[in-house]
Amino acid sequence: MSAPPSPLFPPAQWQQIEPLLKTLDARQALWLSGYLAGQGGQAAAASLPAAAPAASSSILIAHGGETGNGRGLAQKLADTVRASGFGTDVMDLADLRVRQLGKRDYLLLICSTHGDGDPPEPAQPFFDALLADNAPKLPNLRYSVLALGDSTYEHFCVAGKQLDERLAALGATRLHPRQDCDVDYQTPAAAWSEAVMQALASLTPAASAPASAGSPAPVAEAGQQYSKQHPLSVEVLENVRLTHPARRDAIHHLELELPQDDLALEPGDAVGVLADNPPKLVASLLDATALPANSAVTVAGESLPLVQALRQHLDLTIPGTRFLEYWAQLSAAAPLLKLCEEGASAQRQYLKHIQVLDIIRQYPALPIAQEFVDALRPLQPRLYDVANSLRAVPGELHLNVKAWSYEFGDRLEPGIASHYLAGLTSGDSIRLYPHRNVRFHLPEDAKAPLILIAESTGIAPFRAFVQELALSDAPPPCWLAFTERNFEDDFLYQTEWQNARGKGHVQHIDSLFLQEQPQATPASVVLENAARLQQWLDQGAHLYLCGDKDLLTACEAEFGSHFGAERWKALNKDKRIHRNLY
Amino acid sequence: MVDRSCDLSQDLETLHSNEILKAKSRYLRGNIAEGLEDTLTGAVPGDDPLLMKFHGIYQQDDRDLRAERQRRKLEPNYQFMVRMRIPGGLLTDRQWLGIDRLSRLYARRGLRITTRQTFQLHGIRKHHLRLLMQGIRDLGLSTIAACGDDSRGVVCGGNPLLSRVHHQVAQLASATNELIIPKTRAYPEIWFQEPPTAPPNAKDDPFYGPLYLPRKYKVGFAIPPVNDIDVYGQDVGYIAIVENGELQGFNLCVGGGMGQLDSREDSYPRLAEQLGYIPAQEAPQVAEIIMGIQRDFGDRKDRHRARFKYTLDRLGNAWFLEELAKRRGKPLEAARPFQFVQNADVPGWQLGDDGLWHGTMYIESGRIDGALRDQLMGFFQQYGGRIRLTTNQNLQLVEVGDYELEQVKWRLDDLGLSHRMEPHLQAAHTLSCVALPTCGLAMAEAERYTPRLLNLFERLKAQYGLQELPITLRLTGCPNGCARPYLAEIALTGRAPGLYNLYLGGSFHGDRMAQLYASNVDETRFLELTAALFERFSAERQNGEHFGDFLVRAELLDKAPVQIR
Repeated sequence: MSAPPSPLFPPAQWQQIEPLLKTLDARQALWLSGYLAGQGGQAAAASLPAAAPAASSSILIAHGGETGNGRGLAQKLADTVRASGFGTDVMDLADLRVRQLGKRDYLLLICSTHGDGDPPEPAQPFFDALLADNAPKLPNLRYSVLALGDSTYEHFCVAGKQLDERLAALGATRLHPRQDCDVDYQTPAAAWSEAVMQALASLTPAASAPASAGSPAPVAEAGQQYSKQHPLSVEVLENVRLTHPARRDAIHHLELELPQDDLALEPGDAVGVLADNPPKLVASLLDATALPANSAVTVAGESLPLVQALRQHLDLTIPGTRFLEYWAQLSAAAPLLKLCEEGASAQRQYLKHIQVLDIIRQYPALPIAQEFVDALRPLQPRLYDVANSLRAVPGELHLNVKAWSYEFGDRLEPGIASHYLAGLTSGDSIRLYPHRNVRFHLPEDAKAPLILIAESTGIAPFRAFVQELALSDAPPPCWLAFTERNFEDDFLYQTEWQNARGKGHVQHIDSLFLQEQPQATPASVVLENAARLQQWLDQGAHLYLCGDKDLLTACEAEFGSHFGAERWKALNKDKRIHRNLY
Repeated sequence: MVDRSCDLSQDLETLHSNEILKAKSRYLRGNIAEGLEDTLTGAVPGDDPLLMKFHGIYQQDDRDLRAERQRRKLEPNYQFMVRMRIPGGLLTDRQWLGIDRLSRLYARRGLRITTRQTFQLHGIRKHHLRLLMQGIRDLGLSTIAACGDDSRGVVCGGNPLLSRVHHQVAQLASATNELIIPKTRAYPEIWFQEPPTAPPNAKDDPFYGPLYLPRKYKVGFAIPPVNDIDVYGQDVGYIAIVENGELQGFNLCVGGGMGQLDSREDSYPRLAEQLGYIPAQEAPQVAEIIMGIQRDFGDRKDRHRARFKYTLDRLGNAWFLEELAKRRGKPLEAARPFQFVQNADVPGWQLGDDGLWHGTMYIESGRIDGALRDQLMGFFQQYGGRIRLTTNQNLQLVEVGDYELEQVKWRLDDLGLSHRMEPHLQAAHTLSCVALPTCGLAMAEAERYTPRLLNLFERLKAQYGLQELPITLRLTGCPNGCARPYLAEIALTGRAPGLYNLYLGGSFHGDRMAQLYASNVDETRFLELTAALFERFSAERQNGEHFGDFLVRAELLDKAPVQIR
């Protein structure tokens, strides 16, 4: 039993704390440090890592290559590192993201060069991100590179050299100089490993404590509430189009930075996104009304320039009756005035088939900025299900967004919020607030089997579910059924599902691709294993449906007729059917 | 005592992992059937792709899309290449039309004639594999052992001028093929979903046994004076000996093979050596006996030393001749004289000694897609002769009667195909492998780069007045040698995108190995180096001399430019 790391703890208390800390894995330690920081402020956070090495001080061994040589070396090195009493993780560069390095103190890189000076193909995204102008600074990182190559090529070991030089340029410190190896790499690689181990041994006891304890995460004011009125501004880390470039309603995966982990979002919850109107639409409205962009207006008690009000606060597409009346008076257009005298249903009918800009263009008039603003409806936030577990991927918020368009008369109108999100690039910031979906959380009974039925972006909350389950020691059985268009291009998060099934976090994954099986339905695919479905339901399974309302309502009806209306009613009554349909 | 430290007499656990995989595969079944049903992936999981090669199927992915799909969180764009087994490359019109139809239903890039005179279909999706395999069966064809550690499709050279001999040799090639292909029931069970007649057991493949061969095993028959099959590149090559117009027997050549690794000194391409002569009817049995020798003595620990050529180099010709005589019951007779004059095809029409016509049609890189596929489909809808694929990736119309020749020519004209029969010399002497984007081994472009390279090469030849002289030119995406580069007068083997190793000095009829002349050359450097040699050649060429022969006579190959090493 070691002495308490701080006079703060009486020995008796420390005796209770220490055994527990020893049992924590890296993720648990990280979570706990964040939890305690949130509960008690900085003092707890600052003292914890010294006693329980958090994820940051474990040594990351990353390898990149196409032949497996690098992987082999990395595993050997990891064994040595572990034998010396350090914690370590081994990762393929294909799976490593540059910004994860910001949380690391030690990085040992083994990377081969392919072709004539190219990085390994699977590691290309890592290289791109590292070499990008906006790559994060890495002042706390100590590293060393082992470069593998073939000296019969002109650009020998170039990929390794690139990594080495770029990491230095980003402020990281070399633990040991880079070693370049030819095809007979074994001896120099062994020498490098030995030198790196020596450098680590001489550095770590002194270096690890300040490196991990010195930068406690910024702690938010406890209990701070974000809402529609007080949204949180977050930065876009990454925006990836998941579907084929030719697909019109593209589906994007967005990763946002969450500097504060106090959003209290559970898997199944959503965020409200306050989208900006497209600049083109704002410009068209300003043109059509001949209003100066910088006219001062007041919206909800806040004074701001007109252009900002139009861009961020007002609905520029759907006109309300207030706008109709205002514009009728202003333009004195006979058809509008006549409509104002008719009943509400005629007005609704008219307003359903026309947009703000159409009215203004059809009946031109010159409004006053404040009156115009007052006549418009406020821009409503749009809800998007959170696609990650904040416990599994702390500090990030993921969204899965379909750039949706709708037919309006003879034109195709882009959905404002989804196109706004799909068009974001890394570095942009967006405003959002948490939205709880209490009825779409994981069951309280942690053993209840899960049947997850997703259509398209309805996969998002299930991705969060499965990430969460992966943290559990005894995850419940899980069965995912996914519907999209085409196997080759629309299998959202395919590699992650393969991984999840490989690790046993999901037992069964059914997929339905409607272009290939137009006659099948989500229910018919699941009912191919009707006996299993029956069995799981008998074992208390919860069934979740997320995605297109029509398709999944029909799916539920099929289940209902298969199992009988009474049985289905009972499941409903037990609150074992969860719906998130749109 | 023969060294048996690396062959199948050793403990299985000490052998290469592929040997263990084969041993546990239950005669090539593995979990292929289960993998086909897995809808989470377009691939076949685990080690089964290695076993599927024995069924003629390569798992590949579109390498052009890899990085983009990785970003999109999708697995690689998995697809399969299916290679048929067409002994001697002979097809009927009905089979052609059937294959054409299958390619339209299931393949993405049409058809490709290979250097072992068969068809490959690329871009097959997993859920179409069984349908395709059943379609191939219904045409009376198969894909068994078109890849894998087994006897690959037996090739048979053509010689239209000796039609009767060609018939006999083709029949022997077909009989050899039948004798030495794997017989495992795994094939119909997996692909045709036929119920097992018995649990997997040694009767599946009594000759091969559960470990099959250490590596691929290639048998080919050549009919002098044409060495179109590159007989010196075969594990077992038979050279037909014809006396007074009658087939007598074959000179036996053993131990040829193209593959090499650039990174290993003890890996090299090798010419087959001529060791003797056998009577014609014994050809199938002798091929099987030699396969048995390689099965028993081949290296099963180091896959890069497993081809028969290394077994021969390791254990020696004397040992081999003794082992062969022992198994065969008699020694080889002395080799008989013959002469080769070329290893390429001659485009155009030739009249055989049986009074039937044979026309060779040039197909660039063997690829039949787009308009060409349509033109050929139209042509074969009204065609009475037979079809032969050549080992130079070309197409032959064979056994065309005198009475129909005129009409056939008309139809070729109508369909815009007749220019392919003109002796466009350089193109017909150019071979390329598939390479990017589907071949997993390729490090550089080959087929997709051929049109440009050929164009530049022909311009260069014209600059030095060499436009009438064919030069064998072969291009591969890696050193593995699928387009038999080391037997060409000029060859480029891929090293990295845009960079090739330049090999020079093979003979025009394929009995001398080309040697490495310069490493890592790009297109500009290749043209510079070649231009300098063409300049000497055009000035010093002796009457009828071929380029490769000139390089050797003038001792230009030893004065190779400095290599990047």
